[in-house]
Amino acid sequence: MTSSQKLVALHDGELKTMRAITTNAQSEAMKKRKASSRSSNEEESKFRFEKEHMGKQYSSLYYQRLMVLLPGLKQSAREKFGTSVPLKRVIELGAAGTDNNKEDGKGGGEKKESSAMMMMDVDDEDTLLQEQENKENKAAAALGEEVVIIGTIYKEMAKKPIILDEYIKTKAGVTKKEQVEHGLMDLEENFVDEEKDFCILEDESARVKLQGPGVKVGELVTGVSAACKGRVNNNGDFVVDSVAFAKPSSSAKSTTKVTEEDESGEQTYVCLVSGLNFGASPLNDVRAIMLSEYIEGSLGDEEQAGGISQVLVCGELVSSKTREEERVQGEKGAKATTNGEGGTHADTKKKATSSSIQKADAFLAKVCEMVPVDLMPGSSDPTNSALPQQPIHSCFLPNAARFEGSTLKKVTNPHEFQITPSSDDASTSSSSRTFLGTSGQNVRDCLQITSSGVGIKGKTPEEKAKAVLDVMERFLEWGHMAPSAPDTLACYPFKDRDPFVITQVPDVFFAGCQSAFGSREIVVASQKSVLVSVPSFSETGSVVLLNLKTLKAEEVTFTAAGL
Amino acid sequence: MNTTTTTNKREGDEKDFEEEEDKKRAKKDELEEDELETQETHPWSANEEILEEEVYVQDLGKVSDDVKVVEAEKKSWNRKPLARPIDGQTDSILFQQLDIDYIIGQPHEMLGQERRSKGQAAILRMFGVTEDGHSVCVHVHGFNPYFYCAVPETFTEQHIPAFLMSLNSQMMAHQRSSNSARHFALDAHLILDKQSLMNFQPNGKKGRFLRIIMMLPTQVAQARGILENGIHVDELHQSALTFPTFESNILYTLRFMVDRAVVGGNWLELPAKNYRVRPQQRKASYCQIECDVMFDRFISHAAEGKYSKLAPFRILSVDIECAGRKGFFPDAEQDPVIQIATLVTEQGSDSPIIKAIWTLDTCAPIVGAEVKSFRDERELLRDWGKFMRAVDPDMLIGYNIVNFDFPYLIKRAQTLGVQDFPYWGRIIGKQLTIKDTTFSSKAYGTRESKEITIEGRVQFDMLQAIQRDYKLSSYSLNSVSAHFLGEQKEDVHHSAISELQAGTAETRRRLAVYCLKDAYLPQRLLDKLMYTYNYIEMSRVTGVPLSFLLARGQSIKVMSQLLRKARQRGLIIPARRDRGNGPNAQLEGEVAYEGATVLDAKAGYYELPIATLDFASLYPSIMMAHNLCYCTLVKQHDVADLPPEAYTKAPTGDVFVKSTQFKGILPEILEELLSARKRAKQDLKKATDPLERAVLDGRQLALKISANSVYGFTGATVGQLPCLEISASTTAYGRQMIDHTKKLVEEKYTTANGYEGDAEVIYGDTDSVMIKFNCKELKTSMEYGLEAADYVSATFTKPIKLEFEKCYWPYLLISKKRYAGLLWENSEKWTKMDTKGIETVRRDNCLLVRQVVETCLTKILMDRDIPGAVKYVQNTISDLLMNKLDLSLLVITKGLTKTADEYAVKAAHAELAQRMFLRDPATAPVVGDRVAYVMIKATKNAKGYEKSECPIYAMDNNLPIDHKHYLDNFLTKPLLRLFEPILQNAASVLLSGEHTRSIALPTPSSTLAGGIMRFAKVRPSCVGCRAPITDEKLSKSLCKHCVEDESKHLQKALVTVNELEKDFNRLWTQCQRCQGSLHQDVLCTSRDCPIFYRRRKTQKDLIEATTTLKRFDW
Repeated sequence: MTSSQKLVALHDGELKTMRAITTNAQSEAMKKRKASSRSSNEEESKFRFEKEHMGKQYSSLYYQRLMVLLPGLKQSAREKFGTSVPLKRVIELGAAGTDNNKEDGKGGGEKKESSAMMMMDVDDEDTLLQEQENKENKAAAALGEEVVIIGTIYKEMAKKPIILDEYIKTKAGVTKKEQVEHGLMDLEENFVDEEKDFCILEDESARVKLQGPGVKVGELVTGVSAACKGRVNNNGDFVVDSVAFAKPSSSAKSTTKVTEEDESGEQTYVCLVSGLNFGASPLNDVRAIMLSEYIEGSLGDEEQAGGISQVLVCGELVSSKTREEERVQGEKGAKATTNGEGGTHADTKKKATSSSIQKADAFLAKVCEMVPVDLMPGSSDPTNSALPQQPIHSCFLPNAARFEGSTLKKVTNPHEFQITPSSDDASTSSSSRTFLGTSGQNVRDCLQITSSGVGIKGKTPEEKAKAVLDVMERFLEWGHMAPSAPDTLACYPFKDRDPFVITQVPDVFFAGCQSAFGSREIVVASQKSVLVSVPSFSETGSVVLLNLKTLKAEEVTFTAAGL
Repeated sequence: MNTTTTTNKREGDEKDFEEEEDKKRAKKDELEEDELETQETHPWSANEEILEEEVYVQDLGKVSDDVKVVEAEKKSWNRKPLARPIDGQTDSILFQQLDIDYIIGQPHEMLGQERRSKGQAAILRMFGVTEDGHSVCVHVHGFNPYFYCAVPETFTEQHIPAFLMSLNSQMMAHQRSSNSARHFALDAHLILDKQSLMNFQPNGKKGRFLRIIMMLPTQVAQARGILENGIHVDELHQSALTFPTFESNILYTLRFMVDRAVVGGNWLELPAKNYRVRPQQRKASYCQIECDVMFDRFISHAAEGKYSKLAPFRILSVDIECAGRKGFFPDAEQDPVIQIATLVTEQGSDSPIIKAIWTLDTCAPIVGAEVKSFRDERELLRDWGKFMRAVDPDMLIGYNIVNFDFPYLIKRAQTLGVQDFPYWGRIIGKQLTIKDTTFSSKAYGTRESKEITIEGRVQFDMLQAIQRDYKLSSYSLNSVSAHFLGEQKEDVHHSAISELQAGTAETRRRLAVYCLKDAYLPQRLLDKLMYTYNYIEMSRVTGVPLSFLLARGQSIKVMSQLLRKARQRGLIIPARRDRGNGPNAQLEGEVAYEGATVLDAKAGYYELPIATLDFASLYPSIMMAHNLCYCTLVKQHDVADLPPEAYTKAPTGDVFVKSTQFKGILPEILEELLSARKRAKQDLKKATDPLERAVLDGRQLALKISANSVYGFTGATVGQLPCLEISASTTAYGRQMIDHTKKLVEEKYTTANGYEGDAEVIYGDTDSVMIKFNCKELKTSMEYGLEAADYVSATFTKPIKLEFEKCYWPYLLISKKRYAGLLWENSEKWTKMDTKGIETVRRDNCLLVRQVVETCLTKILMDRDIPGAVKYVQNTISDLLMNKLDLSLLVITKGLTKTADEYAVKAAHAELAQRMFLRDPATAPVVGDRVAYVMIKATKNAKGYEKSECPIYAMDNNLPIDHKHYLDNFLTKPLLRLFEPILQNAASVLLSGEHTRSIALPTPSSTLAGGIMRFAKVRPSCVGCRAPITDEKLSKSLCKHCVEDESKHLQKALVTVNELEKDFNRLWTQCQRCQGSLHQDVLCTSRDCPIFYRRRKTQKDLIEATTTLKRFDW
């Protein structure tokens, strides 16, 4: 772990009340700050949608994903497996390729057409495919011949809960609500069955079962695009020696030097906060006040706080507890209450919710006075829940909304942006940093369906952080930040694109709302990237300070002893 | 009880049946005769090399490389060839016989010149498979059809020639066609050592019978008619005498099997030197081994020990797809067959040896399956026919093949003029035949069906088998596989099929994968339900050929056993004369005596344990205990001649002799069946090999069913041999025993006798008695139950036995034949929830009823939470009224069996189909489809059938559900039945009250709302309070009053969206998993799938909810 941990403690009586928000205070505080410029061109973010709606099915999304990643997959395959191994479609494997064109010539032509679709973005130097393309008669891969197949992984999981079962149980008398609650509550439940789970590779032609040590079933998830080298065995299964993924390309300005030694001089930080969860507990709300005072510079390391040029709230501003109450109420109001008691006392609860949103609003407004804030929604926040989540509506945050256009930016989840530290340092002005990340749903989902998450409940924070970082590292390797969407992670059925594909390696790849802090430097496509697991503030009392020069992350923890 | 009824066309009217058959056979025979002589000129046989076994080879490797051609991997689909030719002198042939039939042909040379000169003879053919999987066809010669008739005491040997002459001249006179036999009765023998099965003969008197041997099986029925009308025999009597016939209505094949101790599916052996192998050029069939044998020169092995196994016979499973026109169910005269998927499996192996699909037009390859594509449909059909002959399957299976797939293929080939197509049988140059039949029995109901004759191959339609053996709410392949295999099947609507076909090689591949799946499911069902084992065991136990089991009722099975047993005992079975064609003919199968009574049910909800005492195999054991049989029934005028200790008088007054006098045949059959079952069950306990277990379990089940059908056989008034004295006595004894049990138990188990409580029999049904011992402990009740069973059993004649097996606790008794309870077999843990006669499986109910009833029962019985159950019902009703229920719960489905006009009374589903056709002919259900509908609100006086609507249409257009209809017509009755024993005022608590006050009705989409709404200007209304929005500049979503609470209203909208997003995701990804592809759109339209409507509804609701969100500038 490359982080140091700072503790900001607060003792009885030291608690200062939050100051009233004034425009004065804002400008004053802003002056003290290190300036930094950020650009994320929010209006045109690929995660914003206007036209997208749920009137579609998911197949296009998988198809688009495979098509976008195909060039990268082929390149990886070439690098990893060499150019001599022929590339085949799944249907051309083994016994499948009967010569069925004897009866009519038309079949051949059509077959070529469909395979051309698969190879549509093949460039000239693609030697891997030449042999095959030159041949008139596309013969099947002989049994045992070594070939490469490219497609989407489908992981069959015996223990994964399926909605049909839920339905059947409903018939047996367990109400739907009980199940939903049961199914939703335990975020750390794991559905891996190491003995029974297996993977299938599907391309646009067919699917084949994958076998052998080359395919790490425990790590993979449904939706990953992969190139597999191996051979068909007698059962018609594909025995995999080796797998390659579509790594993202290194960013154009990869010349940027990470000035690791340059710890001298003034440092600029991005403060990553997640899981504030206002309304979850009184302690939590107090700690949030401490956080705001820390950012202000009136609590803890003033100098360091002064270096914070940007706050990124990555998810869960408002507590899921209040949201959960809301949900139950909403269900009573809008959906079937198979066994509910009616919803007459809704008003009292409403107040509780709105008060927690009000607190969040006040907090945000205060921070916005001092420093620019990017606000991403998370799983518990009032916006849509399927990825990509759209920015939180202004009406929930009337006070903070006044900073819109100046310091507050309400953004999507996932979120991608660039930030250029210290504009006064001309020499490094070009060294902008790219950030990419989510509020953590992608990681959490993968922990439930991969072996990284097995038994995570009982683990230490370090081990938990390691599991999170492992998953994140794989996302970068796969070139995709949420492969398990839509299979187990709700997302929108995009028709002509897959916004979750990672095309370029970001300098910082973060995931919010995790159970522990952790960071790791990795090299992907010969470019350095820092992975950050942003801890949930309400669970850990911690935030992350990320040094924009050194790209080092450290954890700052707030404790309010005696409260 | 398996009471069997039959129609004229079935074995119930053996005479008509046989005669009808005779006519056809006679015609066929003529043809056959021609064929035999002029085989070369047969239109088809001339074209094909029929003398050689057809070889069907599939090229595997690429043939273009000239080097590889030499050793090109050729995979033959034929059976593996014989290691060496059969040598009739040294080899004996052992095979499992699967099908037996007969033809009329020239007598074989082994019959001798004399017989050959007389003309045609019946030749039996037995088809089967050897241990090594080689197919066998054996022609059996020399077995003459015969029957008996009773003759007067004065009839002696010397009367025989005159008798024969008289009979033959009558036969000649009755000759129906000119070109017919010249010989009839060949011979007759006087038989003095037999007796009629009917009635006990005091003093063991033997009868005087004549066995008459006929030339052809078809002549038996004719001769019977003549003899029963009376003929004149010189020197016997002055006037014509009638001769009652015996065993004159036995199918020839069965006659042969009985006489030669052959049972269905057993192993036969042709010892070396006793048969003649047919050389290749003289073969009549495609079988690998073909030979001729005399009827008495082969060995029939009883199905025991090493002969109980099954041969590795070939099972071919098939499914076809046709491209229908928009709005019509595929019609073979117009719509092409576009795909035929075929799987071949060897019995005993768990994966298919051949998976292949024939497609019209190109089709992209499929992993693990052979794809054969054709431009010309004729070629496709021709090639498949060729394949069928090459594969030479022993059994053909599929889902609804008999009434859909096969007739369609046959008719299609006929339409296209593919003359060499309908040759699927094993006999070279022999076309299959197809005709309509009606099958009707009390046990299985009436079914219209096709009868397809494919010689030498057994047809086993999984649909028919499952319809017979299981009561399900739906028999669609989808719900059947969901039920037995636990998985949903993708269901592609036939309008989508045509589209896929019209697409590319890839879309056709998609269709092919689907089609292959549908061909695989019947095979998997066959395996899962152990059908091969169970049915072969059934035919072994009852002695009938396998093909009889599906095509015929229960009675032929009992008849077969009766014949076998009677033969051993020197008894012969009278042919029935009166066939119930009188005024009461419509009451076919109606049992004309008092049935089993049931003790009055003391309805109520019992919280104390209720012990249940069951009579094990009640009717069989009564028949055994009291020696009830045809041959023990004493004629009333004979009773006086018997000493009183020799007989028993049944409660009906009928008299039967005791077994010490004469052991009845039926009791003997039953004893054998039941002791065989006991043995099978014991062996089953010991057996470890799963295959052996399967066989044994199949056997014990077959034995049980067979034992139970004996009683029904005696009671079926239009059956083969009804004897109401037997069946009425049986039920009378049963009633008496139930009363007797009640009396004994209630007398003995009282507090006065030192027991914990006064016992009370609360209910008694045919073979069980429910006792409330009035003790709190389950354990005590069980002890008392066990004790009572022994105590009462001791008072009955053996083998009648009362058994204690279970307690119900708690127990809800609604009325007779309707109850539910939590079943305990030990005092530790309950076994299951047991329900009888309660709305859980009726198929015309909507899911809501089943769900509500099941949930209530769970709450009442398992959770013992009656207030919870009440609350649940109230909430459900409230949800129904508030329009909050999942639509799929309200969907009713009904099969459209004919067009709307043909229904006598207007039917909701047929009317709907008609309306849907007007909307969109492409997707409207057509005859043969199942129509799914919901009941919607209509104008005040709308008729029921006008209220039906397509669920999707109703959903899309926000049509309000007619909740009152659901409440009144579906929920009220079952709920009241359930709760009346429990609640004082069930109706008012459940069906009226606070929870029924709020009713929500959605506004139909404006496009549909007729009348004045068409002129109304649509103005956006406030999301919060539905008031029209006057100031759109302020907000597009809220009115000026609500806009202050914008966040509150937005929050509410978001909650809805969140829920729907999650559901949407889970539902659609589930469908992707089910269809087995990520990259292709879900096409499934399976209305039986529980999530089909939910998926649709969620999508629609979500689009709506997102639209609302967008109005918030979200």
